[in-house]
Amino acid sequence: MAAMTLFDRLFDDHVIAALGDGVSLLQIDRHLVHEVSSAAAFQQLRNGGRTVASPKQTFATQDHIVSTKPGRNDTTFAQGIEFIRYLRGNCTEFGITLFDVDDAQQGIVHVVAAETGLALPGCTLVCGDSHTATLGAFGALAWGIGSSEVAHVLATQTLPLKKARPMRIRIDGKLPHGVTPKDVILKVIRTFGIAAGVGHAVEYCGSTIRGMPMEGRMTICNMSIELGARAGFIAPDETTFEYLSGRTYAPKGRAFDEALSAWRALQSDDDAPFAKTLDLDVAAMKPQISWGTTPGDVVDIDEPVPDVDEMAPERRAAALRALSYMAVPPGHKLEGLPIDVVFIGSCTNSRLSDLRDAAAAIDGRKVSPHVRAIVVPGSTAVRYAAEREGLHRTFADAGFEWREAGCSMCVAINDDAVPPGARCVATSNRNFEGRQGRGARTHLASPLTAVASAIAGCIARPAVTG
Amino acid sequence: MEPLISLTSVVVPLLRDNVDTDAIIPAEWLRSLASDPGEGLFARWRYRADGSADPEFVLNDSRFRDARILLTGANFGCGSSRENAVWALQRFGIRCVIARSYSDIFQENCFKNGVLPIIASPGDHALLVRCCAAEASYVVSVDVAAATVTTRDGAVFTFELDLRRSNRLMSGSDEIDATLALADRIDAFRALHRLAKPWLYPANGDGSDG
Repeated sequence: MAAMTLFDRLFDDHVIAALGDGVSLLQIDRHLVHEVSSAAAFQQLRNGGRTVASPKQTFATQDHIVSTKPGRNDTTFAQGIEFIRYLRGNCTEFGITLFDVDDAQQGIVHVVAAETGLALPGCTLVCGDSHTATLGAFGALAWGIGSSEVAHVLATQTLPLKKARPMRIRIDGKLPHGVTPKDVILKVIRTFGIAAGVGHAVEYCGSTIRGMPMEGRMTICNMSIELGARAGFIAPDETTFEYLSGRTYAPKGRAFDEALSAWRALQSDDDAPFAKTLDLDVAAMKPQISWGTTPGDVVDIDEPVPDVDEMAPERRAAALRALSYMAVPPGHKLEGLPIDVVFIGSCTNSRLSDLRDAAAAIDGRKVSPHVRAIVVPGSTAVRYAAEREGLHRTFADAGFEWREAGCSMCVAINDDAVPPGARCVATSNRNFEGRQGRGARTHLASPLTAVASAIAGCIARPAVTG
Repeated sequence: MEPLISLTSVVVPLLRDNVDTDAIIPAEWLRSLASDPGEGLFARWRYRADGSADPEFVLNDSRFRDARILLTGANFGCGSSRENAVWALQRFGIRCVIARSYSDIFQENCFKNGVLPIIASPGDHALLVRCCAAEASYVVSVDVAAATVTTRDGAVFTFELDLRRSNRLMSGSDEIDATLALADRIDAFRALHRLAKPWLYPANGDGSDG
């Protein structure tokens, strides 16, 4: 048999029918739904007089527009009510499990799907959210879709999909102190470009990936879309299986053992043909931070932003525009630039390990008095776990706000926004113009860099890197 | 879905690369199911902070008020999967985008809504950019069946459009209906798949199969 990539295995295993022009109708094993992108899809479903084909493979949560204010409910952010209640009604009517606003399993859809064991190796998983590739960390084929596709999956539990080209990114080397998975994926995007993954499905491999716990792997896969790839994934291994064992929706007992033997086969063959292969050595890398308005506009924390005079003319205009928006002079260093806001959260960096790292980095110090610093756990389960460890007190004592779980200041659909002209160090995934609010200036970085900057009151490197 | 067979329109040039879907429609325009997405199109660039129209922004130029074709750079529609980006373009009147490349999700969302995302070769793209620079109200014609763009000067270039997508654009037919017509094959697949991988079919909500 011809050598196959993991992507071929995941894709081919779900082909119901070939539809022509390279498009296949795929079986969808898990459909995750959130209140904002599903609203139009449910409207479309209802307008067509249709019903939900497989409600038991559909799971919903409230994360995007829900308030993250402590003690929040449906009405805390008034404009969210319409979406929150519409999703609740739809879930009740169609028999979909909902992790509702006040549910212990509520949270950012990609965080919740991992910690409840919904994302399993070898499954196809979609969600009306571009960061769905987060769950590729389990060896799942997970990708983001639009609302019309959400309606299609609701109605049929299938999706027509053109097969992407398989691409491999190999990452090797032991991470230096102070360098996190977030820095690694920022370096990948900076090195290979924000469109490197367009039309491709990315398999991450190499010793750095193998050595990462599941939460770090999720941070890597999460930003596949910032590389242009709809799907990014990692072959499952003992780390994956250990993480899944005992999770609510993961198979149990004999069913788990049966699944395990199938999951162990989810690898790329040694000589599998990839359309594109890229390699990165991270052994000597430094913490990364974004300077511009695309997630590829990234430098080492102690490096000056690009000197536009040395750029090709076609890049120069965009770089000047980005630097002007960000109010950073060309050739200037970011370190030392005063900041106004720090955001620790989002589906990229809001899991328990992120919060533990951030809390430890505080080291008894205080947030600079002119900085608003917020910590938004990725899920209510993460919040409870952090509180059991006393992390909330560590954050509060240092001057961070400790909030309820949700997407918050990453997408800024609710009232968690960065004020116009304010500079924010964020652990989220997008630094587009206006992403965190009109005129907001976003610098993407790791939780360690975010904490160091919150304390210094300006962009600062994590203490451990000296 | 309104069929799209051919189109002749002035071309509105927005010559930037990496225009993301947050720029096409910012998050605050996603806060109501009742809002008109056309009003939110490029809102951060189109309106000043006080809400007034910015005369410097190309979409506020009265010559482009009825434009149905947008010319832009590479990697258009990157970022968020929000389909509101396509709805915003569509409600403004845009039925066709000509770019160097697109993000995968945005491109798919276009086809789902009867908006044609044309990928122009570097040479064809450069030609259109020059034409639009030379004449502010430059008009081109797009033919879906032939997959061609014809400039006012009679130059013709072709673009790639597979038959499946081309047929759907021209008929405006519903993709869900087409899939539901395959119900027997879907059911047969699921029956076998469920036997092979029972753990993917939670029946009792606790990970046990049923």
